[in-house]
Amino acid sequence: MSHFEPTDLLCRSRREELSVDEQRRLNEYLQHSLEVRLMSQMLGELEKESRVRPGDDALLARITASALGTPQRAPKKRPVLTMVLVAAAVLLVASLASALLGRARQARAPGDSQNFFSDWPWKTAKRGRPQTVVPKAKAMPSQTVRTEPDAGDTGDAQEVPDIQPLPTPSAPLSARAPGAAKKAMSASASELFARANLLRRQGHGVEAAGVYQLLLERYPNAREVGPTRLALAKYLQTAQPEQALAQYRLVAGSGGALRAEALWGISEVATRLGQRSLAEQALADLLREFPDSPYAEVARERTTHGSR
Amino acid sequence: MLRALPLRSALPQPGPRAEDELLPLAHAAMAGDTIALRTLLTTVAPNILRVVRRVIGGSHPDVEDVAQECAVEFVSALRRFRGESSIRHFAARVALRTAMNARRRQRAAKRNHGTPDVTDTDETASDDAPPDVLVASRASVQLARELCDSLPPAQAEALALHCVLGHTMSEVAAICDAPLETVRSRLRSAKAALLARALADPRLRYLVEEMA
Repeated sequence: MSHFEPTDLLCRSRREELSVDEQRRLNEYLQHSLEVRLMSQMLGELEKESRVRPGDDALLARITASALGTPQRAPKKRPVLTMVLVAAAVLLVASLASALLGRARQARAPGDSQNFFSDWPWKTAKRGRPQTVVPKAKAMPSQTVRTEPDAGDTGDAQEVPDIQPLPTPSAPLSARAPGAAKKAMSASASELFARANLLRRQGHGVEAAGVYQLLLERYPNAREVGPTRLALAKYLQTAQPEQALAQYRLVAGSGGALRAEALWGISEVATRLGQRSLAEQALADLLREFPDSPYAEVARERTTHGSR
Repeated sequence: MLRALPLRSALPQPGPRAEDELLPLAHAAMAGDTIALRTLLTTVAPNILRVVRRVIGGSHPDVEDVAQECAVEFVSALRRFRGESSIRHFAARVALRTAMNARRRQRAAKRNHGTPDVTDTDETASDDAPPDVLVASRASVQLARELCDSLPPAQAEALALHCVLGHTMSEVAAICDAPLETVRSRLRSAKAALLARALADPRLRYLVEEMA
């Protein structure tokens, strides 16, 4: 029923393709109805104002961090038995932790100053504070700042070209610190992912890329694979666009919530590589499948004007 | 923890189905799972930012502050979420109300201190339209924002959801948890007021003349 409202047609036309009949009716309304015409002007202007801008990734990270930093309300009252059980559990965890720490100190070899995990967040972060996303000049896409990836990643399905060493002074992780690499090999996928994110936020891009690659090699079926590929692709976008494109394609091929970001990445890299038809196809897919994505408005504009 | 949450479907599905994917995440966040809350916020933050930019202006200096206020309000309001709408719509409504309140506060403060109102002098980049079209489109946005400030709250919310955020009437009804006819009635009154103002505004003469 609402489809017959002229302004509803206008709203829908902004995010989906109308049928021929609907488009014809909308055109008539635009010619003859001041209300529809006025609203069309407004929505066009508002879309310009609210489109994605450079630096939005960092801005979104700050918004998220500020909301997470708000103090949670303390529970009103706990029964005495619950309190006693909680206290006992805390004591048990504390004693276990101290025992583990003691063993770790004993196990650490003298002179092992390049311990890869020596600056893990739990060694420096204050307890009880939520892990926040620190904005950097080269912020990663909004989806990739998550420290917990989506569940259900199916892992590798296609061949990915080998990633060449980047022309930077730092050597790969294994060459730089063999002990660290050995320890990294024993870390879980989520630990590697957190470690790489931390390195990336600290500005150690090459090291972060190394850990991302290690994660992909060691855990091809982990749920961290999707966000890892996105982060790696973003990093490789400038220096090795072909490899970045391959990573984006793998993420896009696995579907799910990260596909929108992967499609956007494909369009960016394909444009850079001069593969115009691929870029246009990616934008078209993005518009069709994710009309409400923050990238959709820019994609729509690019598709309409054929820019870039 | 998140491994158990069905965050992804086999095929990407836009629309309400995709929005419902956030429900398990919201339930986990409500139960005190900080990681789920972080993921949820990361997902809805772009929508919140978009709402704020549309309500107070894309280049307004307070965009970040208001967006942060909206995000904090969303986290707080999540405890009251009863599942009448999708999480994205719920976030949009919370952000809309918070941003509209912020805008009203700012306008009141500026009136009291006699400072010029910069809220509606937003510049949009890469405009290649004729000047009269640009003036008309900016004036129309300004009219809608001013009207939202002065209308009764229910009408203002319906107008903002429909004309500023671009939701269809049935979506507005779902977001406001109100019958469609009620929303239609609210919008009828609000749009009549908008048209009356537009007809009286010389900056929008271009629109009226083109119609003639």
